[in-house]
Amino acid sequence: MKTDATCAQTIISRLARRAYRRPVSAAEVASVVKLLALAKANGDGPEQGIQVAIQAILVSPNFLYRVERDPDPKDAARIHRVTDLELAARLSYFLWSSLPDEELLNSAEKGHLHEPAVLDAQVKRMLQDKRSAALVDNFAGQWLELRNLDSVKPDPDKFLVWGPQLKNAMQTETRMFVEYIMRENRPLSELLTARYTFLNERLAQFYDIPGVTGPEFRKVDLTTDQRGGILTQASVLTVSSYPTRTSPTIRGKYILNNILGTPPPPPPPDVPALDASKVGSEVSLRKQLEEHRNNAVCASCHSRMDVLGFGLENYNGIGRWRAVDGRFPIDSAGTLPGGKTFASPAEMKTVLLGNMPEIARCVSEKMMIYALGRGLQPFDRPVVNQINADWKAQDYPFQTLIYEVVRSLPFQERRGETVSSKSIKAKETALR
Amino acid sequence: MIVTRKALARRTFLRGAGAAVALPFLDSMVPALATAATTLKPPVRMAFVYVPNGVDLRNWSLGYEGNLDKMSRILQPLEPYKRDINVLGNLTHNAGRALLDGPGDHGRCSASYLTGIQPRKTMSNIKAGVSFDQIVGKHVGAGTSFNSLEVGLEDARQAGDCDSGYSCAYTNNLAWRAESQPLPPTLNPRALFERLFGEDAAMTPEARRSRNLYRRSVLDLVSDDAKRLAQDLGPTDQRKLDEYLSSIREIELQLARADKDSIRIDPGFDKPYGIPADFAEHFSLMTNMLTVAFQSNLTRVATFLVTREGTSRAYREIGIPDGHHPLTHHRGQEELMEKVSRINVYHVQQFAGWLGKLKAIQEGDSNLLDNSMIVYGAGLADGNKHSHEDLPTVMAGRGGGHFQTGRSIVYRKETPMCNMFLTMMDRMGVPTEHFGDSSGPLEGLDLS
Amino acid sequence: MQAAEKPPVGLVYDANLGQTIDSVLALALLHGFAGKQQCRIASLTINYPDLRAAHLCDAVERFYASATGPGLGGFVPAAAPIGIAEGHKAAPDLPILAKPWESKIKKWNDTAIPELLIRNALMAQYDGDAVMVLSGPATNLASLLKLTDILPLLSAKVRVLVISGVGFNADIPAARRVLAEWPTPIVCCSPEIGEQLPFPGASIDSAFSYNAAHPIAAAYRAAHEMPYDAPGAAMAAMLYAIRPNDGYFTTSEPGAFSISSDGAVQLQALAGGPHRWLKADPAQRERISKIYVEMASAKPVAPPPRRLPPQLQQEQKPPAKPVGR
Repeated sequence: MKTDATCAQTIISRLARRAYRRPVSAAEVASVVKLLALAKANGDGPEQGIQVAIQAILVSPNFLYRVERDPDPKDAARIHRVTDLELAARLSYFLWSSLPDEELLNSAEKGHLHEPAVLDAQVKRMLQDKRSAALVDNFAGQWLELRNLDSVKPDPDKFLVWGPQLKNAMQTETRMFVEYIMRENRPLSELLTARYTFLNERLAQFYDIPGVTGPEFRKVDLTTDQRGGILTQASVLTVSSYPTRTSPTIRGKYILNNILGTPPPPPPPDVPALDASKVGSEVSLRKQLEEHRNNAVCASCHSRMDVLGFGLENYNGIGRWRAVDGRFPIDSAGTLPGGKTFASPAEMKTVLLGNMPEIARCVSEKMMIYALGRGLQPFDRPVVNQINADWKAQDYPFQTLIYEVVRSLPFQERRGETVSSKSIKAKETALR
Repeated sequence: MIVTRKALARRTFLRGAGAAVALPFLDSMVPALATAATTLKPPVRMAFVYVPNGVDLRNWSLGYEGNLDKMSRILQPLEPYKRDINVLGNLTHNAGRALLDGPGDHGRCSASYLTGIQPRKTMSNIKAGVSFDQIVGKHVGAGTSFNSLEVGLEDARQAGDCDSGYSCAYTNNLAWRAESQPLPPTLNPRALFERLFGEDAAMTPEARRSRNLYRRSVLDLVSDDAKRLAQDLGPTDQRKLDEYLSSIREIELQLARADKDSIRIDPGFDKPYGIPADFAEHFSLMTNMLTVAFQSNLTRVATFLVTREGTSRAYREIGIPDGHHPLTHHRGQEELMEKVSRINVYHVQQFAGWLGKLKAIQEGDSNLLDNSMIVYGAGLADGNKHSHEDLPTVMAGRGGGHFQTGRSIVYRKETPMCNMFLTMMDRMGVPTEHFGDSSGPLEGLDLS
Repeated sequence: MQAAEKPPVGLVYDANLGQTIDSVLALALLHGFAGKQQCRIASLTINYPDLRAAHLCDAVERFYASATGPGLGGFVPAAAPIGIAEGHKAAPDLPILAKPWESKIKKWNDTAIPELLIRNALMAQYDGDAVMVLSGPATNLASLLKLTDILPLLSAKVRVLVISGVGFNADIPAARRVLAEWPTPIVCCSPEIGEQLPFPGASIDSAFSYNAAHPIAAAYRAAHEMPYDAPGAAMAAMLYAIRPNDGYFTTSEPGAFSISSDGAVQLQALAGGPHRWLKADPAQRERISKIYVEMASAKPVAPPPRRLPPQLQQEQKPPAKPVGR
């Protein structure tokens, strides 16, 4: 018959092992168990004791911090493999945004996790597990800026249909879409060009797509060119607009930043203002923005950025299709520097597809950053190159990226820190 | 060592775990504060109310020096309090300027506003400086429940690129406890209420004593855990653990204070339900609580980040559907400048409301406003040009009866705002020789 | 294609503008070189506490800025503040300053605290990218030295401090302090050198005639009865500061300066010392004279158009950059 003490011992060691993501020593367990004795001495029951013990475990740095050790923490030259337990945590926080489950922990404890076959098998298992929805939520949420949907405030006078239901529906669409691409291991290009999406009645109405009833989401095949791929999804179109109107510049910047991975440099320091000659409401937004490109300095960036945004002008500030903006018909044609032209959003997507290697590289870099929890450095470049070469060879199935990242050197190895006081700014030589 | 993505939220959790046990009312507290030269004077308090994106200078500037007479359009709501304020001109934050780092004035101006240091241009390894309110809070916090309070009205993420490569941590925080540790503002009035007046208000002293006993044991245990972990770490990880240990220490200090006292404060109003939809109501709730917090000596230092720097919040409350930030880049268009002015007026109206509440509280033979230094300021002057000189600044209150108020004072150009901070630190009893880019205390405020 | 020139140096000029015409001519010289992108004006400060000197400076600055039209899309940059030592000295009436100079500066708080203006300007320079020129007393520089943590900043940013010997002895304690504590090399132009290299007064009526209201010409005429050749120690200092390698001047053996109680500056020879005298080669006199006139009378020039962002070319796609510096 188990005594209270043994019971407590079991509960605490099990909990601590899961929370600290590693085996716990008898001494560690004993120090937590002491809290139960304290509670008893204080005249409180065992439940109170367990509560305090749980508090201690959850506030301990062993839980709050992911601990990874170096044999020589101040030697940046010494690169070494992380332990299997450390690898397990990296893996579970990458794919599940949570701590390792029992199976993963066991595999790590036995010391097999780093073996390629075992590692691949775990990745496969974890991707299939429903917890991998966290990867979509957190990665796509940040990469595609979907989290901003919670803080954008489209003007209710301009956008009468905006409301929490529509907003949630938009978010769900993109989330389910990316999740589908991930789970079904669809090619990366489908992110841009899929001929299907996920809708409920509310959103389908918004998109003018007939035949969808009920609040549940389901996969819907698309029959027109108006929708297809993330750039035509209302979530993306809303987070890249102002509260009262679209902004081709912001949308162009969104594409450059998040899809092509060629972010424009920041604007010049003294904030180039558009000409004081009031362009006002006499001409369309597109015409007004053309002022950007009359000035050679502004044009160097805006000729690319704005034009990409023009390609999406058919979608208003919350992503609804439109053929006119107020008095002005939408002109979504454009010519990129380099000569490629398009006359509609669908054509623009085709043009973008011509840059698949850039797009793949962009997504791979962002996935690496997400997985590693740090920015990329020049020394990561060969790794990224290798990943992209392998990925391209298979024509970019989505899951391959995840496997490649897990197999990569930066994911499996680490090193200490250089302890020098280099200044951040590059110093120019002083002396003549 | 890798910090989990939610580390910042957990740090907040740790702070919240500290007991928010109230102290007795000020009068009976005075003997504990009194020094040998007992004068029974209420302590001096300080607060900052920060507005982003600059102001419309045409309608802010008074255009004269000397005794306050006709108020400008934006300062008009302060008319009833003009005997209690000083409007200061030509205060400058050089640390907000580019200084070789290119664009990013919003990120720089808010991160340097109370720290006087140009932040590192990064989205990951953030580094600013310690803000002076925290220095003051550490020194004067011993007699209060909280070293300082940070409040705000706008929900905003803490990571990512918020301005040309400057992290959102820079634009969305005002106070910095350590150079890499901003103090995010509390946004929810309910959370603030619970923190100040105790979710455990209904606890018996016995229950509270028990709870503090357990907390102390937990803290001992995790402290040991941290010390064990701290052996043999690289410098960054070492710093992280140091931050962890200082959080522990702070909670221990709070518990120590809590043990001494047993009376709780009744703020005189109910716990708010949540975040109100209306801006003015939200502002009012927060300042009501700050007022009680000052009055009851729960804290002496507060910062209020009204909305985050660079915000695109629309002010539909006053019929403006456009985002604030895009409006301030008006390119000289009259219609947009007018809207900016209206937003500026709206903000000052809320501020004036708070001054009224502070003034209404008697303290000895003066009032709470007199005993405070409440600064209303913007991190940028001209929001269109991103200028960092002649920052719009109003200081309300007499700092404990020391300042001569009711004036427009224009300093020489390039006078560092950090000079004003030195003067404020001195008034708070933390005389300091140098802070940020200061060149000495700000002259001309005192009663001669 | 000429060898890559170093980027133009940032020049910090602290002068007793209006006390002598020499310091005003040096300012004109500075603008001339800046107009040809051979230097940038980092900051302007006045070490002589007479607000009229700020009026003069402001008038000169607005003259040179008149060539600058509205910038990108109508954006007009604000005029840089002018720093001036405070002291409200009751000054002897100076002929240049007796002239009314039209200026927006009305009060002391329309001007900047000089040592702070200099410090803030230096913080915006890359390391080793600034040169300082002093004409007149070292009052502002001594105040600068009192600021917290100023020495590392000066060491890092300033290549050399070039002093005109004229007027340096008007504030002996400040001069002593600077000579003792200044952390960078110092080159000093003695008044004698200034007299050997005067400004040719005859050029005022010819080279400056393109503008009937040219403030430099007006100041020159106001300073003394025409015709005269103004001694140019400040100009020599300015020329050396901006073009040290063009062979106009040489420098003496190294040493350490000191100033006696009657204001005489002496150089104590010291191997590896940080201070030198400026020396004029008589053979260079005509060449120097010419460059004085050419630069001082140069027409106001609009600043060059901003360089294009380095990454973006019209036709070429920029390479994907590694993320997260």
